[in-house]
Amino acid sequence: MILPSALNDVDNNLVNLFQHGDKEVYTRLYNKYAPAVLGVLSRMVGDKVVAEECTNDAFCTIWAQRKDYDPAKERLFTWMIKIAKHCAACLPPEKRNQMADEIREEIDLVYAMDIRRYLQDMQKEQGDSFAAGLDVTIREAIHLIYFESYSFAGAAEKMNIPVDSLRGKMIQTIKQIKGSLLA
Amino acid sequence: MMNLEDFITSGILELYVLGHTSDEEDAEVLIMSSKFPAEIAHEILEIATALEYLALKNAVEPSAKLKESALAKFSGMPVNDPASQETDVAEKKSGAAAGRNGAAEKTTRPAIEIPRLNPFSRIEDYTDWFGPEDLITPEGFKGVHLKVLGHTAEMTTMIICATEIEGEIHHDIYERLLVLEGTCDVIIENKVFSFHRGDLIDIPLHKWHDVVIPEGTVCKAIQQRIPA
Repeated sequence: MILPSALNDVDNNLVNLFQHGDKEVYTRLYNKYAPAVLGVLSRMVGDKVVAEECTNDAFCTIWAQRKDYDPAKERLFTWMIKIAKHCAACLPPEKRNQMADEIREEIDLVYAMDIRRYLQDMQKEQGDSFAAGLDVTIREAIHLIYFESYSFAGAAEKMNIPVDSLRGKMIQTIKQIKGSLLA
Repeated sequence: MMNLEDFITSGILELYVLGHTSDEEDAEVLIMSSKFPAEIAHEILEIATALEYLALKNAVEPSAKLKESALAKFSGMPVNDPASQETDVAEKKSGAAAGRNGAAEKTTRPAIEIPRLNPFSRIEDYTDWFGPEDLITPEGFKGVHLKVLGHTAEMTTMIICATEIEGEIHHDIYERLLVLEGTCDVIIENKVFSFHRGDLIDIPLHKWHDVVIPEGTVCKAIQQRIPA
C-alpha cells in the first residue's frame, strides 16, 4: 500500500486556494483527507455508518468555516480533526458503540501509535516491575483502560475522578513512559 | 515559570494540539512559545505531523456512495466569495482548461448543458466538461476517486475512477455509466454483463448489482445519477 504523504509546505498553495473558496481544490482535499477523518471517527464512535455521516457533516462544516482556519496557528489536518471530533461529540449517546473510546483514539493519535499494544508488550517484558514507579491512581487507570477495556469515561466514573483530568494525567504519564524527546 | 523540559514532558502540548487545553493553559503555551519559539513550534509540529501520519495510515476508505453524496453537496455549497461567486464546478474547470490551451469556446458550457446519458451517447459528447487530467490516478491507486462535473436538480454527473466498487441497490435513483477506460463486469441477478470503452451501463432500479473490476486495473467512467 502506498501511504499518502502528509500535507507539506509545497501544498500551502492548496490551503490558500481552499480558503478562497476553490471547490476543485476542496475536492482534492476531501479525496485526500476524508479517509483519514473517517478512520479516526470510526474508531471514536465504533460504527462505520454513523462515522460516515459524521465525516460528511464535518466536511460541510470545514467548508463553511474555511476562513476561520489560521495556517500560522496549526496544520490543516489538526484543524480538520478538531471539527470532526466536535461533530462526533454532538452525536446522541445511543448512536455510539459503547466499546469505542474517543479519548483512547486521541491518545493513540498524538503519540502516533497503538498505546494499548505498546503498554501490553511492555508489561509482558517487564512483568511485575511494569509501571511500578507510577502513582496508584494512574496505575489503576492504565489497568482499567488498557488491560480491561474500560472506556475513559467508565474508568473515570469508577475511580471517581473527572474524565478531563484523567485524560490530562494519562497523556502526561504516557509521555513519561515513552521518554521525553529532550532526554 | 516552568523550564522547557518540564513543560514539554507535562503533556500540555499534546492536549493543546487536540484542542483540550483551558484558556489558562493556552496562555501558558503562548508564554512558553514567546520564550522558546523554535523549540515549542518544533514540538507542536512533531505532534501534529505524527497525528496526521497515523490518521492517514489507519484511514478507512469511504464508500463510493458517501463520496458521491459529499461531492454532490460540495458543488451546491455557497462560496460567498465575490471573486468566484459565479463559478460553478464546470465553468471553473473549463476556465482552467482555456487558460492552458486557449480553447476559449470551452468556457461557455455550463453544467446545465451536460447531456443525459442514453444508449446513443458517445464519449465525445462529454469532452467539453472533462479533460485527460481528470483521468489521471496516482501509481498504486486503490479505491474510488470521484469528481463532480456538474450537479443540477435533475442529475449529478461525475467522473469515477475505481479499482473496486461495493455492490449496492438503488430504489430512488437511476445510475448510468459510460465507460471511458478499462473494463468492468456488472452482475445483476446472476447474469454477468461486460463493459468496455464507449459502452453504456444502465443500472436497473430495485435490483442488487455487483461490479467487478479486473485486479490491478482501474475502470474509469462518466457516471450520472438521476433521481427516479
